[in-house]
Amino acid sequence: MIKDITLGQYFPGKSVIHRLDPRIKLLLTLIYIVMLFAASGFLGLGVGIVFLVLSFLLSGIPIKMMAKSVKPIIPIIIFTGILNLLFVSSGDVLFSYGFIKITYDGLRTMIFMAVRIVFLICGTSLLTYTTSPIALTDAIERILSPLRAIKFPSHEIAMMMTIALRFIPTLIEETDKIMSAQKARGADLESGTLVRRAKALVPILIPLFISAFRRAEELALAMECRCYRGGEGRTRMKQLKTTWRDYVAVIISLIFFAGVILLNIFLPI
Amino acid sequence: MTYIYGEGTPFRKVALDNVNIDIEEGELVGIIGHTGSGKSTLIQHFNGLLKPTSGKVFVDGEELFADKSRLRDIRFKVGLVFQYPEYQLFEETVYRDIAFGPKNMGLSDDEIDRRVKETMRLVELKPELADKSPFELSGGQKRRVAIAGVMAMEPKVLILDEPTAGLDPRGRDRILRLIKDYHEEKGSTVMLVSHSMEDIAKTVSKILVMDDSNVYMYDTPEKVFAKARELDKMGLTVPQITRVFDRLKQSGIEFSDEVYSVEYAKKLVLRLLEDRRV
Repeated sequence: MIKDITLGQYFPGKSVIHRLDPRIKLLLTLIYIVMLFAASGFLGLGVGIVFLVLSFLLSGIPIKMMAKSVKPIIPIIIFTGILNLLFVSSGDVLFSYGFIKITYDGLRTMIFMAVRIVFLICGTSLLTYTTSPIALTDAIERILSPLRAIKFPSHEIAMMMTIALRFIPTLIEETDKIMSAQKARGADLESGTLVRRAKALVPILIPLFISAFRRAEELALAMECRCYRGGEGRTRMKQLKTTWRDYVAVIISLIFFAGVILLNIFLPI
Repeated sequence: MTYIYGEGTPFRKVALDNVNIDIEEGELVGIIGHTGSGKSTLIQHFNGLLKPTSGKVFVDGEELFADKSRLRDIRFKVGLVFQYPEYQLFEETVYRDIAFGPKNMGLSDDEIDRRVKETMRLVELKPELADKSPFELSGGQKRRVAIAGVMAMEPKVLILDEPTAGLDPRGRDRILRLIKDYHEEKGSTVMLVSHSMEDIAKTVSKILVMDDSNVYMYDTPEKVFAKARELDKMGLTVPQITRVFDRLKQSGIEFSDEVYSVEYAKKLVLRLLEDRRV
């Protein structure tokens, strides 16, 4: 049923990685991304990969989850791979047929780019595997909070994200219920042409929208009853705290980053 | 039959554990049980919305899921009214919402018209409401429109999941009376899930007690409410009047029967008073 769709991919745990300050984790992910893009050779990329694999091992997330997160972007990898293969025309020619010319450089770029994209995705999914969506929005709010000076509504945006995330499962459950109810009245959702199927959605979407609006109104009222007045002067129950662990993590990441830069300069293959 | 939610995931939960039950045609059954005892899961099996993990469901001698293409016809035969059914209303007018089910059955316009008018009468909705938007109605009216939407399919079995939830006492009594009238007029099987023992006691002819993913007992109200202590242990109660009489018995006053309705209690007390006077 519709409930089986996995939403967000937070994988609860208590590892070192899980316990890092989400702000630091966001920062580290950023360092990691820059690292991947700064690497000009396979060796540099290798350093990035080692960094990621070590983090994965520390996090206790099964390695097969890494493969799972890559799955949806395989078409993109193949597409960019083919483009690289066909349009990089420098270097020794390995194979040619008519206007198609495959060169050593093309092959190399293809592999290089594919590896880069795969590990880019793995790295960012490690962030979402180990950080709950709520912690993540919290971190984003804190990181964006200096922008308040230019009237950027960082708290409001974070609150909206939190509420949206919170209500995804609720709305899915609601959809499930409405679908069952309409099916019990003989609604046919599975067969027919595209137009017929789109029409069959009306009995589901209308009640769903109505209930979403009702919920929004109730929630707003409940928040007001509890004196919610926006971010001004609001304290939080769970303070984000950076500890020695976070500093160690940053230092380790910077060492890896330096490694990539050094490899770029001295061993650019 | 057995039903397991989320088999093969960490969230595995046995909702029904080897349930075996026979419900006779024409019965008015009340289903009781505490939250999470498997009532809602059970009734969703009766019209094939859920497929048993193991075991079989038969309706009218026909096995569900034996032939998938028959499933829709079975849903017309077994009408299911969900909890808070007013949240499923979607049409522009009351008339068209009630007609949604019959239309899906592929009936002729005349037949649809007949059924909509008849069910509107059955649930005591005034004919002039037919052209109103269902969203303009009161809570109790909306509930009746939604129930009418299922009744209009003229199912052989009508199942209602907590039809009185969230209504005021008058609305509750009205719904129960309408369900009872419907049962008497159509002679079809009706099942009714409820938390209120009072509601159940004054409406049904048989009670199905669910406890811990299983059928605890299926019997007449007298026999079920005779086991007040056991029901209490399950987190269920018996009707207040039954408890009153239970206490009276404990204090030494003899009554011949189990009492579960106020009317019957009145009769007994009057008879007792007369006996004493003599």
